Amino acid sequence: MIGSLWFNSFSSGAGASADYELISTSLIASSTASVTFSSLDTLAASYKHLQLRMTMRGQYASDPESYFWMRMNGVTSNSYAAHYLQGNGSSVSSGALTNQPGMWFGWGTNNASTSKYGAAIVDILDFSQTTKNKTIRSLTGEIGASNSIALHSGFFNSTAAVTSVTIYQPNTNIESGSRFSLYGLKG
Amino acid sequence: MANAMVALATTTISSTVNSVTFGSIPATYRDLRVVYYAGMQPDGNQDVGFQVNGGTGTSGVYMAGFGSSTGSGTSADLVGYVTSVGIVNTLDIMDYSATDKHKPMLLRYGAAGNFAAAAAFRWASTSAITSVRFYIGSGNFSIGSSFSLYGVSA
Repeated sequence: MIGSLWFNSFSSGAGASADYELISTSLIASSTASVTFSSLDTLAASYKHLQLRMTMRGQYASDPESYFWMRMNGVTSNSYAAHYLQGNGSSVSSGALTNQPGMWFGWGTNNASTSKYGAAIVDILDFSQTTKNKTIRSLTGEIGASNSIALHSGFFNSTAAVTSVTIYQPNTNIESGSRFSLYGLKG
Repeated sequence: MANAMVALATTTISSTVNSVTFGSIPATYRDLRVVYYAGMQPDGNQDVGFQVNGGTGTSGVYMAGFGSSTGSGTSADLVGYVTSVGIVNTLDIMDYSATDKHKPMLLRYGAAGNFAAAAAFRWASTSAITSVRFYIGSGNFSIGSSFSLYGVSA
């Protein structure tokens, strides 16, 4: 039997339990060096984990893609590490960055790509725990600059509760139109 | 605070069909997530076709691990994979309601005993997405396959 199903009547979601909540969204109106979500010790006090969902573009004019990095609690020392597995349409590669001033977690397009944006979904696990170093995981990719898909993990060598998260590019600005949304997950 | 991820629609297929469409999607949310666990009949495997707003225009790259080897390739108007034993696909459609961006998408999928994979796509249009259609070129989604659509606020 050949057939099809079509749905155009949707639930409003009313009454659903709120275990995944929006904390804040930043839509970049003009290019900026970084985006910071701060006061997480109060704004995110009721959550177990955090998630970032974003679409992003960098101000690089000539590089094929732009790399997005993350810092926590304003720490700029070489306290971070990242590992990645990435595909570019023809091959798969992996690598590690240790003793870094931030965690590379995302791929964006460049500012020559106009309407084209990369995307990333990042989980920040047990962000408020004071007995654990902090880890993140990211699914990211961009189609429009170099065309990549990647899985990243990140490590912050600190047991301090995360009270702020800063997203930046090491050598250029974040382009206007980029969007960063932070969510809290209850546990 | 309100739940930021809302289940908009879900179905479990009770008789075989070769396509599932979510239409008249409201622009209320910022992102969409589609989770589908799909098998196919007759036995076999193939990519899952994808249409946005009734047309084509989605391109992307994927990477996959097969246990002892890896691979990466390109795809057009395909956003998942299906086998006779069923595969879970999770597709995030970012900024679907924005009218100043092409739509980036991220996909995770895999089959136990077969492979693990991820992919990135871009639908090359600034129009808001109002419908998405998943289909099999030859064969049907099997009975028991399920499709769920979620809206994510921002």
